[in-house]
Amino acid sequence: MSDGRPAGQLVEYARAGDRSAMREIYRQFAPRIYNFLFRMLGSREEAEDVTQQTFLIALREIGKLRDAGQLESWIYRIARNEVYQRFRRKKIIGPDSEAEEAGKGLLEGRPSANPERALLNRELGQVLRNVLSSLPLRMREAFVLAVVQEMSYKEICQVTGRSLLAVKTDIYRARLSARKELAAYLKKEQTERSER
Amino acid sequence: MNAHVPHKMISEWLDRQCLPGDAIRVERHLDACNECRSVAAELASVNEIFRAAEKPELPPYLWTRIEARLGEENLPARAGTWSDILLPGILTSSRRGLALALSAVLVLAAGIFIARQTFHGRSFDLAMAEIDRAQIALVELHPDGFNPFSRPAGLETGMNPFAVHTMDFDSNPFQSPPDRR
Repeated sequence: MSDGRPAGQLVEYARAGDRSAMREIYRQFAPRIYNFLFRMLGSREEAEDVTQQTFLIALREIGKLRDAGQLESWIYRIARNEVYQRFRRKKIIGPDSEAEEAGKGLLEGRPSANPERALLNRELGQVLRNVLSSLPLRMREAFVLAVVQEMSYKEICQVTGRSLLAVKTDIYRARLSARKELAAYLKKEQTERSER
Repeated sequence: MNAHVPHKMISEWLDRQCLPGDAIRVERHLDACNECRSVAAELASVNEIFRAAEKPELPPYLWTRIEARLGEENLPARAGTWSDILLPGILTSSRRGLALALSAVLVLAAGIFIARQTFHGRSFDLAMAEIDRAQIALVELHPDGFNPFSRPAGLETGMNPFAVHTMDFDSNPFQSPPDRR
């Protein structure tokens, strides 16, 4: 997983322009950042673009990072800011239909050998996408960070810059909303199974 | 039966973010209350569905694209600094200050050396010019315009022009004039 270098040393070397240290930072954090962005944006293409942008900013600005121990939450903050900027632009320009189309199916991964499973994945993916897109942005990010990324509430506060109370409330509300949406899906699935 | 625990606290308990005292309270209540247990199970199923969802794979070409962009932006692109290669792990940030101080001292010493050399050369030139002026003044003082500093005929260049080989009193400007009484 890691090349053995602690975060502090990686940051120091990356600041000096060491490309291998930059690559190691990317290797350690990019999979989680990409997953976070994928859940936030609902599209692989957009998640790819924003992941690229996030790491370009992070590696370019790494000299500004004061505490190397905060590297991960710092990269998350950059990613989050990029998401907010993208949504602000979308508000101005209008919804990106291409991205909407590409975003269909949050669970779409590698082609499945089992077509039935693939269908279920696609369907569930659509449901999860609907659940997340129905949440306000700040609630969505708190929910994704807590449930998908399994971050502690303290870390979520650091990333989002919000109070612990606000974070707790957002996660709870998002969870209630997701329960409601998923209950309908699970009920439908159970009915279909019993009919088969 | 105990009063219900707030559902928000159940949500925190599911994320393992409750205070230890609250966690015990939630667990005890869930053991005794079917209604809250059902709520906890539903909320937990939300977590499970999202966590079980297939994670998207990071595109393998993404780093290549980022690296290319970094190159275009002229970020320092080194496999490692000279110190990483020659002194791996030695030139840490704490020692970097010492290295900088040593460099400053070396630059200062070099500056002083060059300044001294320049000053010396200039002093020598000034002294020679002063000697030339004194010689010219002495020659001009002599009534016959005799130049005691001119080289005698046949004297090889490179020899000491001040060495007196044959000098009579008449041609010595430093001797008092003979008594002509």
